[in-house]
Amino acid sequence: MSTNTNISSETDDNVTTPLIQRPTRHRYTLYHLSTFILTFVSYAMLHAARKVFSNVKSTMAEEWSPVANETIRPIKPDNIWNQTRLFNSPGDATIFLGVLDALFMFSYATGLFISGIIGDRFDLRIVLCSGMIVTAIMIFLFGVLSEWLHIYKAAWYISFWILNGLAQSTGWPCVVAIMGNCRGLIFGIWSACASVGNIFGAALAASFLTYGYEYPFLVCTVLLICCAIICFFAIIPSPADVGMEIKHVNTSTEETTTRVNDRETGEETEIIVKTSESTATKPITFFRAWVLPGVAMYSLCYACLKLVNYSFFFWLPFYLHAKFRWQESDADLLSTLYDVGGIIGGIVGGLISDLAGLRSIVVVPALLTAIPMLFVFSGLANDKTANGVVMTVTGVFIGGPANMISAAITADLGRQEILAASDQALSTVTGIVDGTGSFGAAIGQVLIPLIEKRWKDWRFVFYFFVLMTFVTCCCILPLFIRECKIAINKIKTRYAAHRQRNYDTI
Amino acid sequence: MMKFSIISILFVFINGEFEMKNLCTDRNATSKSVIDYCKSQNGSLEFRCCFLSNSTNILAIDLTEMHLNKVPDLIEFTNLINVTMMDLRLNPQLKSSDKDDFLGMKYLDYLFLPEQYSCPGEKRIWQVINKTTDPIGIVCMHQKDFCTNSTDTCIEPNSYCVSNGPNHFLCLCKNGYYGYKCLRYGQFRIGIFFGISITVTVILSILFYVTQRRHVKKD
Repeated sequence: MSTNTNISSETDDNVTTPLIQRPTRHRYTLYHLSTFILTFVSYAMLHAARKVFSNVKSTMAEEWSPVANETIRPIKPDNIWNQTRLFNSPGDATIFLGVLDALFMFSYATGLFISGIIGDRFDLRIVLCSGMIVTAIMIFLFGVLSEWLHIYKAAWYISFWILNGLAQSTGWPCVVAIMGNCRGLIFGIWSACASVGNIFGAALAASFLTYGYEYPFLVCTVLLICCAIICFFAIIPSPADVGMEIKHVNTSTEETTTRVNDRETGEETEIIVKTSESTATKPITFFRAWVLPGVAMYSLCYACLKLVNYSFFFWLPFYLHAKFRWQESDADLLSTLYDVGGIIGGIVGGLISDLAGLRSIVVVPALLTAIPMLFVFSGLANDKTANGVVMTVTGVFIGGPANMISAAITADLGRQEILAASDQALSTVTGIVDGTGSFGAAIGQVLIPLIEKRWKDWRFVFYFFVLMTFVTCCCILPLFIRECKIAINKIKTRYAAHRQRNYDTI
Repeated sequence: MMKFSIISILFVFINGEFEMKNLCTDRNATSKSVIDYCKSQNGSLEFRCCFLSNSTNILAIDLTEMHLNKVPDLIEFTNLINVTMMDLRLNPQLKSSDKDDFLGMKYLDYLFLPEQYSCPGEKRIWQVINKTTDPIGIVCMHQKDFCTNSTDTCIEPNSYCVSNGPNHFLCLCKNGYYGYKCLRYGQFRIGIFFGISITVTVILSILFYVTQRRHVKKD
């Protein structure tokens, strides 16, 4: 018997709370474990490729330009110090790298919408593996070949980085869909894969950067290809492929009967027949996916939140260097702490909301706690320990909800009972939510330097973050209020049942 | 064909010789300092140039009264690389160009200059600067090491300073560092890396295939 939290439409007809698929009493088989690990590692590798670029940016800027601000006399010999390969100064190169970042985010966001649709129509395993291989090739061409053959052309870098963005977008919708098909898995821990990928990418960059900036890219390429090959031979996109789905269909039939029994007994037989007949799955259309309850709201909310999360994560080293004159390595270490906070927040938030059965009552308080943290962070003095601690805590309260929304909540949205069991929607919904989020992040990439330039003060950037966090909360406010009522009801009924049991025993 | 190639080779040879002889063979050396120095070093005077017995590189050169506009550089006259004494007096049209003059002449110890041209780097570079009377000019003696006497040389990390002539220096990469801007250190072991990753991939793929995908029902 399943323990699904069944919210019927008695309370409201407009916005129904998305149902959480609570883990049924399944055995955690080897398939579950291998799927968990493989999807975790695949997405971590894709994310690591992105982080590698962030961390080798300053070295690339150096390699593309001659020595900056010459003192009284130019430094010789020219072939070591004065080649103008692409730009005239590291400053110009840094601007170009910022442009590359923004282009990547926009192409990634666009690609997410497309990949979501593709994922629901083709074999998830094939889409994921080919996406990883194409990403590997793009990274190789972008970072490795251009240095080995000394091809320093802006057009080359731009085109391959945009293609990289499109290829990388296949990753997230596929892994979420594969994980979503396996019921009963702990999404909270799994959603840490992006942050783990960041940490791994930072480690890769740090270890191999001394050999030359193209070597982290080379290592990433090879690891991605190896991962793609292993996943091709190993991933089972859905338990149905190995015959584990039969149980699931039975339980869902039971659920529908109980629900119907509560209200109208007349429809009982009809519904049972419907569910047992439909075995073929058809993919949902793009527009119908948008109209699903909760999708549009969570998409907008995720756009604002991902803006804050990503901008924080991208601009943090730069901010620390500009304000406190910190070394690049120290600044990178601190952004790793933010990732660690995100992992902890995602896991803890995911677990709590899994147990409680309601998501937004965890997300909204976390975000509201994050707002004073941002104020505190903007006013901190130049103390490494204090900055580190506040950074980690901020990561818990911003990165945590972001991870939750992008993984657990998206999976809930894509497998709602509103959909007939025949609709394949998970990948499309993931694409929509994350695509909107990434557009938000891309806009943030462009806005942050503009804000900083206009007001010449980083505090205004933080005020902007606070504003965005607040807007995020406002977006899920209706849902939050509804879930509060449900939680209060549950506590009341449980208390009443407890009292009743006490009376019975007497 | 044969004739053509012989003539072209001869032409190149003469051209090369011509350039070198441009500096040295004009007339005999007249500068007393150069003559005395050459004798003291047991070198042999060939017109203007003084050679040591076992070398084709010029030890000391007398360039007085050559109507020079600019200081001869090492790119044109490669055998000036070890020159220790150079006499440029009596060249009233000689103009200084700080960027390239005397670039690479690390062993230049005695430099005689016409009066309109001051010692490159002044007292920072030369231990002794005096005026001379016969002929009129300046003498700069004993080059100091540029690197030890200057604070603003190689500020880039992983590089060290090396003197490269009076008022010139080079920033070379420290031991172990190489590449553009000395950013690289160590060699990436491609062989080991590929070996390990391919092995692990093959093993894991086989393992997973046998335990997982073999059971996939195809319909």
